Amino acid sequence: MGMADFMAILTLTAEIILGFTIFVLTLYAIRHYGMTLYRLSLRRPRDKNELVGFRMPRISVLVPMHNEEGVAGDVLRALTECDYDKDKLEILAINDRSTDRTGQIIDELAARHPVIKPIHRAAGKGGKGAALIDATKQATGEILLMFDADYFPGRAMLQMLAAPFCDPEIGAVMGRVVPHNTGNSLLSALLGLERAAGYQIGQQARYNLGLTPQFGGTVGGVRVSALRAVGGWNANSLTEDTDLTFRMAVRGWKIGYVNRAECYEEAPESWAVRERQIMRWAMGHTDCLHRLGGQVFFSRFMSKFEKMDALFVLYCYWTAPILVLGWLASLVLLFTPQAHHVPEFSVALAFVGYQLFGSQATFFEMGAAAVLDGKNRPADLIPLNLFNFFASTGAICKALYGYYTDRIFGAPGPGWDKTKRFRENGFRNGNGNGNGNGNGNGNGVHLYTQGTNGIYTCRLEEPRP
Amino acid sequence: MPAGGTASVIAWMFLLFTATMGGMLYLHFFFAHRCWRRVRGVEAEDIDSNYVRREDYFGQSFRAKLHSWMELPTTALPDGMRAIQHGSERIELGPGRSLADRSKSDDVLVIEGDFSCGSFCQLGREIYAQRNVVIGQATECQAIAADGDISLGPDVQVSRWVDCWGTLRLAKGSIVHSRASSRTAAHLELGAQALSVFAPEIIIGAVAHLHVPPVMESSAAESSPERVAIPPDSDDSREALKKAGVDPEKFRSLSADCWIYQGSLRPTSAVRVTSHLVVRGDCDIPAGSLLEHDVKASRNLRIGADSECQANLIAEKSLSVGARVRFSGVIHANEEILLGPEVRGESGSGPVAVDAGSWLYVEEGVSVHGKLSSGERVRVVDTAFAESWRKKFESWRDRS
Repeated sequence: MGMADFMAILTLTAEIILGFTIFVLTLYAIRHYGMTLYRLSLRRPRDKNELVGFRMPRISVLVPMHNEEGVAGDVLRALTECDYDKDKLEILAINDRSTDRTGQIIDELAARHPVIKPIHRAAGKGGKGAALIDATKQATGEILLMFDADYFPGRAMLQMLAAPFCDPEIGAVMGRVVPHNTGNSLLSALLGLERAAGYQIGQQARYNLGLTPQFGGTVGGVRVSALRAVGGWNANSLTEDTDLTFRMAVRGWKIGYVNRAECYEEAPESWAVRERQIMRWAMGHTDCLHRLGGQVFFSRFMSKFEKMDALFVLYCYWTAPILVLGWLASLVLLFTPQAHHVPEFSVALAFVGYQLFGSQATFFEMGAAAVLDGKNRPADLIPLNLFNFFASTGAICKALYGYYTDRIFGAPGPGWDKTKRFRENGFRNGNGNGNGNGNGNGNGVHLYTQGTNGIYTCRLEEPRP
Repeated sequence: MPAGGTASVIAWMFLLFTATMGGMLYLHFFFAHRCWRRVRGVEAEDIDSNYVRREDYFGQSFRAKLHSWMELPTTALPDGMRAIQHGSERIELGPGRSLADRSKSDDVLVIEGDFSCGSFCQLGREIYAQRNVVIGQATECQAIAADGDISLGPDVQVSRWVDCWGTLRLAKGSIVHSRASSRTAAHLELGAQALSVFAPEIIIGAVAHLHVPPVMESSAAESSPERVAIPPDSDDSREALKKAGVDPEKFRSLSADCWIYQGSLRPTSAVRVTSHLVVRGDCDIPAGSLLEHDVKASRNLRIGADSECQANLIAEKSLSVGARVRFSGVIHANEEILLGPEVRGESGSGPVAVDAGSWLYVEEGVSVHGKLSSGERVRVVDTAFAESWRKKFESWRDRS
């Protein structure tokens, strides 16, 4: 084979790869645009907020904790202050092989609040999935609600998450997580925008369209009978939440989403922590793709649109290596202008068209979410999200390379890795009083109103003198 | 043009393009960086962790606001009233007061006794009375809070909310554009409308239906032997289902306590639902049925007359509840709901709720201990309207 033949094959391959890349990314871009425009057009998001508090099933709140002495007290105190019938509530505080004061803090709080039931795990498999399996065996509620230790549930959170379970088809419910530390680093600010887009647009649009919102494993709940019916928690999955979402969906359960059930979380503040987090997600998610993709495709309970959207979600981390391949193919084509098989004009048109339209889709989604949330100012940060995009692309490629080499060579793969906490001295500037706004006097009167954009907001009237 | 000249033009165009794109890129990052300098160090402040949902929060919020205003200095007015200036707002205080027909007021009225007004008044701000409030025909108000009863006359329009501790009465044609709440009872007459109504006892039309025996005490419905069990639990019940026009093969178990029916479910005789049931299609529950567990339809759901619903009813589209149905859970539909005559909602374990994503139509004789809410409005309708709605509902089902 001569040099000319080699160049011909190389350019043909590059053209096919570039065409495939543009095709795949265009599909995702159309999905992003479609969902964003649909969400913006919604007069009233579908929800069961009006039913909050009218039907309170017995619930068990599960809080897995591994070395969480800095935050354990906050989340447990916040849960005890929740506005839920205490006769129908138990809080299972799981000390998962902690080597710090977490167990002691749990015991001290349990002594003061009978609703808290400590579970101390000293042996056995580590990780959130394993902790949840143990706790589920001891839970007496018909609904399990889950919170990570660094989350801070508001007083109405449990009622809001329990309300959608009045629908017997709902197997799991997801609330909305909102990073509270968006001012601490550029990364956490960018992740704030990304989270807003994911929840305010993606999750709500999917819920309204009858698709499958993703259960996130925290700030959410699961019906115990549904969990048992799909085989329980998967302790071997790095993303047990994604795993459960699609195991439920393929067996006919629906996932609910409550945009109003907002809960503060801590977003990663350093790029190294973010890289580890997204690598874990990419590997766990892609593993779910291989285990559950076929079941999704052949599920007799899911509609065509549900299947299509579910496959978009399951394949989403593949877009990073596909994009990198597309970049490489573009470089090849740039340096081989004489050997092109398709007219340069059509390549340029496709490329420029995608750059003008397709690559803006996620940014458009972020901007729309910021508008719906009434937070226009942080939306100006969107251009800087390019850095987050490149960092995530690199981390995902690295993760998928590791995942597939592990699969090929039969290596066991990485274990569960807890995301580093940045809060050590209590919630929000260290007040540590278990109260999000720090006043805690109970004199405030809360207004909960629906704006012209259909979004419910609540505000706290100033406490009376 | 010579080749060198063309190349030169292309080079200049390329440079111009690069400079333009570079400039735009710079502006992008300039504004983004400027934004970051502003938001750096600022924590998210948008979630109120202390928020607790209350059905009467508008009234409570207003009362709390008034409480603080009352501490401001007052000036005496000629008619025995006093006034407080709070920014651009003027609050008039005084003992019991009665306004004549066609009166107008743009002040917040705080009445330390009874308040009443004649017909066709225009009351542009909130009214608070420590005792009872009576609003005359076709009056336009903004919001009313009372520690006693509130009675809205015919065709009264309240642009915001109404909240009282005594009995709330909405006469024929009166409309509350936001929430109506009472700590005692709410009584809605034909044509009355509100975005939502919350009270320990909501009575539509005649009060005669107040003292019907509670849902759980009615044993006649449970003892009826003709009901077919859903889901089928034996060969006999499978045969019975087939006779009732239901295909038992379409039932699938979702979990130990939940079944799914693939397709529309339209049994021809009364049923007894013994497990949570999800119907992937329309669901038509015949009259006299007993629903011991939750029932959901992915399209429209109709509950036949005289049925008893001991759990929740959910419809992805519209929901029709037949005459004299008794329910003790929550009822929700993403579109419209019609509660037929003498429907009764009550539970021993707390208030019940009926929530429609769009309109919630209620016929006379309905009594609900809890809440009626809607995306558009709750509206009391007459028999003729209800019949035409049922025909429309039947056509939706036939289409599907």
